[in-house]
Amino acid sequence: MQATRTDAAEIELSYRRYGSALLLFAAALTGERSRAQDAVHQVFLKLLQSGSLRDALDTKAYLFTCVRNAILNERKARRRDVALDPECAWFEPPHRDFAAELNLRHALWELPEDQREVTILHIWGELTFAQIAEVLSISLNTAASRYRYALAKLREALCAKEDCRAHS
Amino acid sequence: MPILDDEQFERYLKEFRPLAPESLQIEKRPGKARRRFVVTMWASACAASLLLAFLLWHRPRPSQPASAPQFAGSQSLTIGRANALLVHAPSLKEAFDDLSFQPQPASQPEGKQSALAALSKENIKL
Repeated sequence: MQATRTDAAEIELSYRRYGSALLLFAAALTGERSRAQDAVHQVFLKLLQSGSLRDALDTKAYLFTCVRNAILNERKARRRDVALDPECAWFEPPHRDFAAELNLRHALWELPEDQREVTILHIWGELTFAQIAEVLSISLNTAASRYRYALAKLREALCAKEDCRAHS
Repeated sequence: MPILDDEQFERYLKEFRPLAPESLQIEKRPGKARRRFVVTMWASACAASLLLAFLLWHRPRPSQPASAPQFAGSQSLTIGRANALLVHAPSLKEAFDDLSFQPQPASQPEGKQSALAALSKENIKL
């Protein structure tokens, strides 16, 4: 079933609206921007070819679930551990502070994957804990506690890096 | 980096804006309906051409149409009659042949004659 013109317009709008957060989420799981990009594109192209977003009760949560599934499937096919690509940026940093961007990226990458997922979904995906629980198939409390742990670790890591920069 | 509470730290993190993905490359292909329409149009055009060729090949060749109006010398030639002759004649040449004028006897009132007749009787001495 091909998406109708209205469906296609809705899908393109979702791509423009959530594309950045989805790409970040995918990059946080794959470590590579190109693979992340492929995963996001794959999801949207499938949506355009095979149907619409009408069946999704929560469009944003549904899109994050699709991207996550695409990456997990691809990872299963590759059967190898992922590593962070240091060359590809994930963020546009404030005040063009590219060192801070690199620090944040490393700090995020050092988090356990389940905590990394929750952090990105909540901060940059702007999903509620209820939505995150749905995307990751976990309880709301688990989502919230993973987030608290992740935030504490991130702060610690970034402060340590900032201290290093200040003292160097 | 100063020590921030959770809310301030979240706000700080949100200042890092995730990069936008590349634009979605959508391959535009003609839809099924359009393809079917194009195929139907081509098939119709081919069928029409074949039919036209068949009709032209097998059209009846008129020899002498029975209903062709005969131009009688006594009848005066009008545009309408000439047109009818041209339509019904098998060829242009035959139409012109039919249109060839017959000499019409001039009808003059009794006791009068045409100037041409009078002059032809005169013996002109030069």
